Amino acid sequence: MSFSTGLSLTDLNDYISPSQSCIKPVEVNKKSDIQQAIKIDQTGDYYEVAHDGTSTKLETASISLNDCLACSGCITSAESVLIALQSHKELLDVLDKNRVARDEGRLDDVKVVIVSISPQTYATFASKYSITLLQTAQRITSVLKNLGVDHIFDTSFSRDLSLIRIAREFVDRYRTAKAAPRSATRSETSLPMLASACPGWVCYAEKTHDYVLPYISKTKSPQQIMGSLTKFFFADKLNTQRQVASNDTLSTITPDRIYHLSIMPCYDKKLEASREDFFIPDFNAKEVDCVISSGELDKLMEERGIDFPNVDEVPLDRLFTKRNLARAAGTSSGGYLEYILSYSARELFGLDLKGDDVERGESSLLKIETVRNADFREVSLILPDGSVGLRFAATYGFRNIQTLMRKIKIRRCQYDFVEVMACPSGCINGGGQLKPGLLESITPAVNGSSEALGNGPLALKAMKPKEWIQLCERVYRTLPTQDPMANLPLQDVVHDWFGEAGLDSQKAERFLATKYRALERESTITAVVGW
Amino acid sequence: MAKIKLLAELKGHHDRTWQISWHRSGQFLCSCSGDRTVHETKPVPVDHPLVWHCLDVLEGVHKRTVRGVAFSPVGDDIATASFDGTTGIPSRPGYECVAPLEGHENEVKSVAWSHTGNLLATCSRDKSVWIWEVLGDGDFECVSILQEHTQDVKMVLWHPTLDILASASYDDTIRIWRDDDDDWYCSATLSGHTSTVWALDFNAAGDHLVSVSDDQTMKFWRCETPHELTSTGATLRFRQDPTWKCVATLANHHTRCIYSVSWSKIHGLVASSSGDNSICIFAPDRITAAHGISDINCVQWNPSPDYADILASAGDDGVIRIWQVTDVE
Ligand code: SF4
Ligand code: SF4
Repeated sequence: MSFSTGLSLTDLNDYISPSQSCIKPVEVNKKSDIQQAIKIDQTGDYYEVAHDGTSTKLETASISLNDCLACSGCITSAESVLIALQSHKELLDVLDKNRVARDEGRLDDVKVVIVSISPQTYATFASKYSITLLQTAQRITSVLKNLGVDHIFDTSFSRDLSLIRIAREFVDRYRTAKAAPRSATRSETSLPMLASACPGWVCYAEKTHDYVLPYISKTKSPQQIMGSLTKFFFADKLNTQRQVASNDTLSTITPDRIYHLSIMPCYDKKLEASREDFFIPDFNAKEVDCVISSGELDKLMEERGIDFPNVDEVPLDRLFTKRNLARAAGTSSGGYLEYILSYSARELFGLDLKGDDVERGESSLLKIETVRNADFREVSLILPDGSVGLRFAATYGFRNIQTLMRKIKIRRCQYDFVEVMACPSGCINGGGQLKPGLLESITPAVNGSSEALGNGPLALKAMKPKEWIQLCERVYRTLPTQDPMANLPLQDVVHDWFGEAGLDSQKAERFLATKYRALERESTITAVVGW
Repeated sequence: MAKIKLLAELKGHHDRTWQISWHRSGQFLCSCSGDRTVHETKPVPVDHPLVWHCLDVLEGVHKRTVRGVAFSPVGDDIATASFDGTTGIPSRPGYECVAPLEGHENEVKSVAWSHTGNLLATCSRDKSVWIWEVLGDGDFECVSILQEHTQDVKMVLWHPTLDILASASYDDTIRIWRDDDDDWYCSATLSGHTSTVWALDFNAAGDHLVSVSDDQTMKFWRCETPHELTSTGATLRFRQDPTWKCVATLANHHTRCIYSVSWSKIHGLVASSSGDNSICIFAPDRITAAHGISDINCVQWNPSPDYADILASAGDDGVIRIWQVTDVE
């Protein structure tokens, strides 16, 4: 099995990966019926030992994706398969096939190719080339359109929907939790509610901390909401347009006729796209067909000989893209804490608090503390009478997740909501982002970035990883903020898609919510001998 | 030639005994075993350790073998490392029950408190080393998860006076960990052993380290602090960490894997124990005595100046032996 060239396994340890051994890694070649022994040497290679004592090294079997999905033996190996299957080569393949189909007049075989790009991807490229995020988006749009991509969307658009849904979910949950008598069971109305947008964290919880699953919000991540948007809402829209164009003889666009790729800051998003809940059985299709990382996009451009600094800047697609690429207030991990806090301050306590206030920490209604390290923040809403109304926290990185897990386990967690992200520093530092070591060819940084270096134009490659992350975060925050509710095109989408009932409708529930399940681990603990 | 006298045999455990930890007073010790319990034992009377008396048997904390045990260097807390994947802070009479620390994927091999008792380190077959900050009142905060070892980590141990951690692994190396700002990093990797490093210990000053290995050797390492770097702009940003240099290798004393080593902070003698059923005592690189009955998993010098001649050992026979070492010139 080969990995896409932009990726090596070492990239994967950005969150969790003490790996376990695969329980069916070898294909035993049954040459004879006589039982043979298998031994494993120190390097983990397998040998078949025949009766005469000779041993033959066994080939590691190639494991298909289906094998792994059917087996939860070692989820880590399964993950690497899932990751390897999604690469930028796949996008190029699809585009090539489209070209051939068009040439041969098989128009029904041509897929509508959509690429959704995360704002963290824009931020990492903007930092590398010292250009604005808007310029970055315009250049990437130009690159992708030239390759033959039909539509380019921005996942901050779907993130607004994710934010609105999760804020409503929180308020409901909070009210239910407060109305119910204190109970010892952990249920889907217990507090804290935990953010669900980071698949690194969600997968980890499913594998190792099943007691925590009821706390995780049911709201789908921005990537997967964009998946429903493109495969259902957008497909319908395309079909309506086609019916209107009178002489159109093409058949209906179904989810399988759309190829949807997203560009994300981490490999975990590939695993998320492969979750069974995001599969559309009726059409044998996925909401998101393929996910590539920012680094893989970089690789693709390099392979195609694209000189990014000299790429034209073309207008962005209008649909599902925020004008000016406006962001929600908060960190580059999405602003869940900020938005939910401001929304529920209003809904639950009638207090006027803006997301921007929470981001800046400038309000007498707030108390903000860095608990132990920069990746563990506590933000409390202070009511006018001085009491604490809501306790929120943001915990980034594996070690802070451990502390949070322990608090929940021993029932000493006082928070109402926690924005949990697997990567230290959050999504801007995802395992698939550009790294300072990869920036060698780049000339000295200018503008905002030189000040980050402290002493003038040192080359970016001399940056320490921490400085680079800080720079990217700062670049991300140069985007103007916008309240998700002020995203008017989104309001129209909600209305068109879900009808009068809007987010209260069954349909909204179907497309915007998901669920989690504990993954049984093979008990490796009991299988092992020795000390 | 030193005289070594067996003072007492403590036969409480029902399975092999893995590790011993002395209370800092030197007046009692705890031991852990494959029988899933920890025993706290005390000599009666205190200054004549011939008769020992079991104070407490800590049961039910772990579902599998308790592989490691450590007395806090400040309070009276005990930490245990178990093959059930958890690290216990067992409750004892007068102590509040604390939920075990979870997180390792599989067997926890060793546990250690830092010199102030504020940090707790654990290591596991899952190749990782974890550091927890002890916040008191049963609260622990995970401050770092270190994954540089490429194999099973056998032992963790803190520097006697600084927040510096050492770990020994099946990958044949020792790693030294330090903190920078709010995160921990590997500041040195000590390579030289040709097989699993089972145990290590610092000297009292903390500028030397002794390690023992499956390769049947014992190595001494000296810490060398680098001189100020005469550097050009670009390299200035890199921190300079002390390096550890192997200054001596002792071979041919043990004939099988060496499992444990203890470097007395009081008189500087080094004791080692081995799968060859013997204990060796080294005064500056000279072997003075060997002794033993079965695989010996652990040796520990008494930490108190008042009982510095007392050595405890734990073996596969499930017995803890108390030795007195005298007449070392
Ligand atoms: S998930 Fe199952 S099939 Fe896949 S690699 Fe692991 S053990 Fe093998
Ligand atoms: S924090 Fe963000 S980048 Fe990191 S794993 Fe989670 S979603 Fe991916």
